[in-house]
Amino acid sequence: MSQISENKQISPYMAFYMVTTMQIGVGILGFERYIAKTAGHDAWISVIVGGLSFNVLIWMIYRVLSRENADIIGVHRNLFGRWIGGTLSFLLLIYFSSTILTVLRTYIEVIQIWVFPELGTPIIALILLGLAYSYVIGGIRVVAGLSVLGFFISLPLFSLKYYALKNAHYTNLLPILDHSFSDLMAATKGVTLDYLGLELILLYMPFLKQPEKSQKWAHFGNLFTMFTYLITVFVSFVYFNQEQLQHTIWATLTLWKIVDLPFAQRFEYAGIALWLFVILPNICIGLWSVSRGIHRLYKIKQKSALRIMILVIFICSVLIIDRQQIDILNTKVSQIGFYILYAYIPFLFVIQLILGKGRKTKNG
Amino acid sequence: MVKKHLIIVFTLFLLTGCFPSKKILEDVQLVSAVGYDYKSNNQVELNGMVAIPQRGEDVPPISQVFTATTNTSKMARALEQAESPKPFEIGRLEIALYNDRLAEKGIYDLVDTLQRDPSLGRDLYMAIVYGSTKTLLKQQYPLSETPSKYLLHLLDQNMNANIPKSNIHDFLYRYYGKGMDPNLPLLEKQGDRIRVVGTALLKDDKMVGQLKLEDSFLLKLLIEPFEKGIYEVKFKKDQFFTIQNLKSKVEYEFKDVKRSPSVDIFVNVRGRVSEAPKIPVSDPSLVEQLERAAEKAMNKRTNMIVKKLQKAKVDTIGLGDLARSRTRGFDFKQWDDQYPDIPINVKVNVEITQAGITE
Repeated sequence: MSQISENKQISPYMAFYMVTTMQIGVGILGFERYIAKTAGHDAWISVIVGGLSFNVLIWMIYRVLSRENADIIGVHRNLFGRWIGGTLSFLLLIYFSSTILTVLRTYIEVIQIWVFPELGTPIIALILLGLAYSYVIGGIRVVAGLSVLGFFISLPLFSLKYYALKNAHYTNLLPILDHSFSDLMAATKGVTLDYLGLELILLYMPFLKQPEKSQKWAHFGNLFTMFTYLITVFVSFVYFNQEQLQHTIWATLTLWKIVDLPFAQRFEYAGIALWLFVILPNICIGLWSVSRGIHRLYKIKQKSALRIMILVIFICSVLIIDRQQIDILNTKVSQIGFYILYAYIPFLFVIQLILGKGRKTKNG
Repeated sequence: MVKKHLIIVFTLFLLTGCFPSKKILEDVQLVSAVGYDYKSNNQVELNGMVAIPQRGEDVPPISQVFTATTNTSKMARALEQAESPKPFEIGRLEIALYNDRLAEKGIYDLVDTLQRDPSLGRDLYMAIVYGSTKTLLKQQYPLSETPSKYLLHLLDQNMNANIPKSNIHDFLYRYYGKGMDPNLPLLEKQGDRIRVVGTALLKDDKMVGQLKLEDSFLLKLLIEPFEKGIYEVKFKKDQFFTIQNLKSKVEYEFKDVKRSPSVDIFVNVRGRVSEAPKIPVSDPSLVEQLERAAEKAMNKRTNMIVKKLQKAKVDTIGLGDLARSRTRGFDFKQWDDQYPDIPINVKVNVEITQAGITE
């Protein structure tokens, strides 16, 4: 792979922001009830287990990529050759595109249900994608900057948990470890879906200056995500009881309802608007990485690839109409993501170890 | 290139036609209270109270009640058919009232429509009314600008002192939750006043019993720690005194939950004697006597309340949930079966720390 010139690269610590912003998306607004379904009030343990397991996966991703000194497309080509490797890369890019679609369409649903019930999907999709296009066209540095901005804008939202804690029932968390090991594992599988997103590092890694230094930051980013989820789950569990939680689709959004500021009675509207700064970097990093991948794979200009993608995602998001379809999309994409991370990445890792011996590293 | 950008920008302007219509405060009717009355087996009369602001400064708003009879609980649709000149908005709803006959049949369907609406807040108050909610909402009260304001302050004030705290979130929390049952304030219209007459005890979403206002205070002691409220105790013949609660605490002790459970509830009340005609309260030994008298009276009464709850099979205190939080592998079914016969023992401890500013 040709070396990327330094003025297009980003600093290693950017990995922290890019990892967390990719992981925290729309899932956090309502993931509590899914993980509580099996492990009940003990689900916070699963949040920790899931988060730690992702640290292992980050380590694997870094090993796989650094051995070949390439992105995933280069790795595929080196390991499996032009055709099989190309097909695998193509499938991976489709998965990444569908994660962008999932985030976009779910956020549109939140806007439609909570704020503007009469606003059509095409209009919101057009605005969001248009906005994303204008950032992505600026290159990875702009996208990375946006994720830093999104991180700091959404950080104060933590303080809103205070209002829920005023009405907390701490006994909801007791007794600790009242669920079987298999329940906890099932919930762990559920929670890993919310850690998905960091795998985009497979595509943007070559743009990080001194990738070996960025690994530490990627781990920190993942730990920060874990910390965020832990607080979220904890607060929702002490505010709602388990049965009530199962009736609450967006627990975190519902918690914003009780925020009572002297100048704003209904905070959730502001919260949903602020959430755009979490969603936008998420979509932008995705769009940038996938269009970059297409460019590497098919020798299409990245700009053209981006335009085609935006068009396809726009059409797909309009075609998804109701809650059930959005739910299916979320579940399917997360399941595929689960297998990509927990099966495919370790598989690559092992294959590379086997093939790696005696094979001279060549650039893709 | 510039031309192309300009075209894109101008096409964006065309989109403005697609945006949702604005909601201007003057052009909508804000419903601030709703009341549901029982009509017949599957019909409910819905009363929405609207405060209509008047022109000029310092002119209080006029309240109006719109009524519609429906067989479902779709409030928005029912109200659209009413005779309002402006569209209704329920985003600022503060109070939901349920008539007692309706409450005996169950109110969950009606609450569910409210909780489903994303425009509603979580701090909406709910209450059960003896008699018609329509007449209660239609009355003009000299104590407050509109009935909804009156109700809001009335409930706010009383939930600090005499009756257990309960808004729509608490109701749903206790309705959905296992091992606990909801309670709601009970109101009655008396002339041009509204009175809190006690607490309604609910099993699931149906009212199955009531507690008087004095007993509501004792129930509140059993449920949550708080810092207000007064209770009257008979000392000797014709001698009464009232204790003002300054700080109360409650602790629960469960024994042998898995086989034959028993519960001890310890209530600690730190208070002051606020009214004691004919009793010289400065005497320390007398204070001791007053404490014992108060403990005796409150013990007797709270144990009666607990028996009443057990007999009606309602767990208003939430003992089932507390037992769950202290027991691994808790079995709700077994607990529910045993609940009416579990020995529950309340011990109230009263500590009088002040007696006012005169001797």
